[in-house]
Amino acid sequence: MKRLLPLVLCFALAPAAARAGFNTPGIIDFDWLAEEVACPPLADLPADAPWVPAAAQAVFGSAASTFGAEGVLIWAAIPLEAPDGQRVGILQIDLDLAYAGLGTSLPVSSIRAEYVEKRGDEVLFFGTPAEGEVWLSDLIRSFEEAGAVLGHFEFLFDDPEGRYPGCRVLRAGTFVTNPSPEKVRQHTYIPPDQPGGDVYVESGCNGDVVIVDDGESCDCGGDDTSGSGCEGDSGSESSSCEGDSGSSGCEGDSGGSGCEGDTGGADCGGGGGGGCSGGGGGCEGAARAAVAPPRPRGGPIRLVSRFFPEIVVFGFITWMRRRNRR
Amino acid sequence: MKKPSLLLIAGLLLVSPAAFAGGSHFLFEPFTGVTFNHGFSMENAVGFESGALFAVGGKLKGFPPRFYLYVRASESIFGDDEVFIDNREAYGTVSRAYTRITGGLRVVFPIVGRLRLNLEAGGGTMLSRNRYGEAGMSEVSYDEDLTVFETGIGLNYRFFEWLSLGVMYNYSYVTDTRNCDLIAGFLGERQDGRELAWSHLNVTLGLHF
Repeated sequence: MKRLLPLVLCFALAPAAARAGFNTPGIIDFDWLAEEVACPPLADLPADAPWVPAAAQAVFGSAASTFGAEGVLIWAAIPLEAPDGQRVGILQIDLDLAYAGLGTSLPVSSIRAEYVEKRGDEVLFFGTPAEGEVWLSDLIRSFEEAGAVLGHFEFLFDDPEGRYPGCRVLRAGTFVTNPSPEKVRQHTYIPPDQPGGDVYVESGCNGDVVIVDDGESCDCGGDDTSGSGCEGDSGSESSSCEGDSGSSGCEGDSGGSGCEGDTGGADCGGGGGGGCSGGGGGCEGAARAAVAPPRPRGGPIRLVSRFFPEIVVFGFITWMRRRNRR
Repeated sequence: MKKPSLLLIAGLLLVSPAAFAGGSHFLFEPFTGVTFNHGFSMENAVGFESGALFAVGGKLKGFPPRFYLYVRASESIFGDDEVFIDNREAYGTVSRAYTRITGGLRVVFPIVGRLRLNLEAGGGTMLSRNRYGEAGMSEVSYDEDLTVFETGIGLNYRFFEWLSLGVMYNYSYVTDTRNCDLIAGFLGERQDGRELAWSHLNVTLGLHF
């Protein structure tokens, strides 16, 4: 039995992989311009150029980010109406949010992007950013996969290898998760003026988003109704679920230029190619966000829960040894 | 569903005869077979699996069923699957593989002669490795650590005291709350990986000692 112990421990104590912050659908929109010959800098692009509003559902995932758990890969396939017929633009934006601030541009080293235009399997254009900028309006981090983000971008893509002439410009771009940070705030009662560094969210027992503002996780089935605890996880009807249907994807946007067609429901439809129509407008007016690296969680129940298999294995081995002695 | 299962187990406990072959405390059981992927509507549903189970246990005096604690490790490979994306008439290539590391309880009921029925319940982790490629764009890949619960039922025949052959069916499903699977999101799959599960059907070779 003693020889067995290391083997059992080896399996039982294997560390769990780190969890990512985002795994959610969302919406992306921008104004699109194809420059087939010359590529003027972003600042020199004429406002009266033939900009085409484009929008689609997007997928936000930290697991696929090259920046790791603190990053997010935004992936979308966007249907585009070009003069020669419909095509699809596939946009990948990979962001490092580890030290992201709100309202300021992310450093270039925190941005990786790629844009491909296709008709069926025929590649019409490929480009990486020659120029561009990404900045966040709101960000809610998560220990698990319940993060939410609202951000903006503009990019000028060209092919560094010169295979595809010209460039593509994506201007006035907005990306927002569903649920949006604003919706998460509403559902979890995070105050809009919550000081940075104190708010994280995670999924509750039934997929509810619960607020964790003191480094301690909620225990499922609890009845915490205090203002600072685990609201939304008390089992009451009032708790709000992730992906709750209803309002548009761009809460807090009172300008009326948001993303129509957001049906909620948190469908993962980045490849759907449709969804958000209109586009072109931003999702402004978001509240402040909490920005700081995650802190380790604790709590005796979580500790017992974490090591439950080990406790069972030890118990079984002890019991077997006692039986053998008899 | 629970009630018939409990009745079945209770019935088995009552009618189980004494084991024909001698009991052992340790079991090493390599296995191989197929894995059926549930939860994706557009992707390859069948993969190949191989792995091994190690179990330790024994019986209670005057009580025919034997109880084993097991640890199982296996690898399921679904290969490169070319998927047609309907709404943009393009092809994408999906590749998925899973490493299953689980542990739990196996109860062995002697049925008749050297034939035994195995029932299992356990949990563990499913490490997934996922890749997506499409013409013209960079490959996207990601790994996930999924918490799974598994149940199983199987039969084995004890040819010798030290050797048995059998067949085992396991059903494992993800207990984590998930929004979706990223690749399923890229493809716009109707079943987007929110509720992932697998059926494992394996031939087993039991080495008892």
